[in-house]
Amino acid sequence: MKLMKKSVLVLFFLLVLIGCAGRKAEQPQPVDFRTGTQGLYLSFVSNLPPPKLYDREPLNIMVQVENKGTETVGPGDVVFLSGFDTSIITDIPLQGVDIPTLEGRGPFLPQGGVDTISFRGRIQPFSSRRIDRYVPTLLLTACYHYETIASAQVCIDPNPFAPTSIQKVCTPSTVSTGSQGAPIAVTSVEVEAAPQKTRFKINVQNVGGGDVFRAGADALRKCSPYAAGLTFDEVDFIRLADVSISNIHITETCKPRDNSGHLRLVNGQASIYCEYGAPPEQSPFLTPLNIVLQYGYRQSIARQVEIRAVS
Amino acid sequence: MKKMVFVLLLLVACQFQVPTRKIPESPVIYTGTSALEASFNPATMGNLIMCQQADIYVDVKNVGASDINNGMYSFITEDQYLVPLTERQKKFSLEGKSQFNPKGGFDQIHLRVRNTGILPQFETYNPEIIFQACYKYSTFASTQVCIDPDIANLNPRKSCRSEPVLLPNGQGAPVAVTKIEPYMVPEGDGVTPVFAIFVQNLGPGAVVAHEGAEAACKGDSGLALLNFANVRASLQNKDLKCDPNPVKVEGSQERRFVCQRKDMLFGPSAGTFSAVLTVQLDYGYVNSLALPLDIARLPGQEPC
Repeated sequence: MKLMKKSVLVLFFLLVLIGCAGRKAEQPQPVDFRTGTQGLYLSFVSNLPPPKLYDREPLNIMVQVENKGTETVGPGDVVFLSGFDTSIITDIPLQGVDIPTLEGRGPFLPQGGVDTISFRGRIQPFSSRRIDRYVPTLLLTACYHYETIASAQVCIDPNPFAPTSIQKVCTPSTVSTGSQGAPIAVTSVEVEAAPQKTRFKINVQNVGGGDVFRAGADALRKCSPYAAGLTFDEVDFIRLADVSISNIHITETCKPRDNSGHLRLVNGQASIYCEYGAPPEQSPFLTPLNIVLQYGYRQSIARQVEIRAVS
Repeated sequence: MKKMVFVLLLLVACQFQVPTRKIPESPVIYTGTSALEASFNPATMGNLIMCQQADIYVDVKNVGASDINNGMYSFITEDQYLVPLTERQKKFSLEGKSQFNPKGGFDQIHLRVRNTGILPQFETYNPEIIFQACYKYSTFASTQVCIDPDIANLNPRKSCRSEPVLLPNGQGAPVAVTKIEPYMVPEGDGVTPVFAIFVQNLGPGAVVAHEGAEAACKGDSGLALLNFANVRASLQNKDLKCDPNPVKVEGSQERRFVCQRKDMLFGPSAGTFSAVLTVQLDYGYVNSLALPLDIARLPGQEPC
């Protein structure tokens, strides 16, 4: 009986020990954050503006802005409200409202910055105009700078057609990259190995549903719905900021690029051709190809409001 | 006992259902294609015996969106058979539809007539009594139009597109603005909006000039009776110049006039937006209504 008691106690003790051993301190694990097709995400806060309101009431509009991408949105980036008659709805700043600094997602930050932007307008009385109702579509336009950073693991084979029978660690082929947490995505990198030269065809696509335009303050100003508008040589352009492989910058080898390093997207897509001269004595190896794209981006959402006359 | 308490509690709980509240809709005033609606009341005596008097009742309703002030009505009778015993021509006013009177003003007009006899060779005679109402009326059309300075469509994201607006339901008046075609005419870096406005008489009556409303019921003649409506249009509280003005509104034909303002220029900084174009048409309107009477002679009845 005593022996039985002892063995029960030992068993209990062991169980406690095993239980404690299992309780390791949880370390934050970095997550694969460079995914997704959105940069800034805009949404009207529920009932702001309300679907129906009366003249002489204040028009309160609140917009939630969330950075769903991986780059910071912030100073210099602007949100505009348009689509209304400024003689009926007054006091809305036509020069736009600055977007507060919103950090992007990171390895230890699963959610990007979230904030709200408010517009407060006044509705002029309808009685003198004999208007029963006014139903404008309020258009909210965000103009901001963004960046896509993509990394694809590519196979470099300086002697692809060498008459040897050595075992190769990899074979150059197309690498699918998906999306990178930005509205412009590097969708795939096609690798073509030639003796001492490896060529890359980098496929880029506008996947964010908005308009892309040349990066820069001038274009950002023209993005406003109260400006002359972006012209043909400004819209659908992205800047190839950097392409590097094994810490070697190969941006200069990339084509097509204009003098300022920009290239045009046609039907929302573009292909960039770059090349890398690998030392001939090197055997095939896998290495990350890093691509950095910079651009301005325009997104908009709309909400219809019905304004009725009180009397 | 416990069961009963439980059932009672259940019943009481059911009473606390949140009542569904419906927000009352404010009435739509500026719709419809009628102004004055007139009809003979069923109490009207359509059949009468020779030498008898008859009471004619006309129900009048202003179902339009404008008030009728100092309108005039008149009864037209065959004087050799029917002598009016009450005033056959009189001024009247009727309130139009409004937020506080969504059905509009209502009134009843009375005329008493006496038959002075019919020709000896007739057993019955069927004259007509015509009721005519003449009044000044206005059409107020407030329509949303899209002002778009970006005619090259450089910005594909717009809150509206400048395209024709159809208005098939009228504006609470017999003369209706049926269509508005906006044109953005390039002028330097901006645009000047030009509006082609189509109007039509969709009511049951006839249009006369604004100043000729009373004359139409008095039986006068002259230029005042021509079918013209005066036009006023404004955008952003600024008056536009319309041509032709006045516009002829004849029968049920659709007529077109153009409104613009040379100094009204919208540059890129104005953005694309919905504005309200207000069109006001002032005219006179005439409604007519006929009542067939049946005057019968009794067998052997002597002249009156």
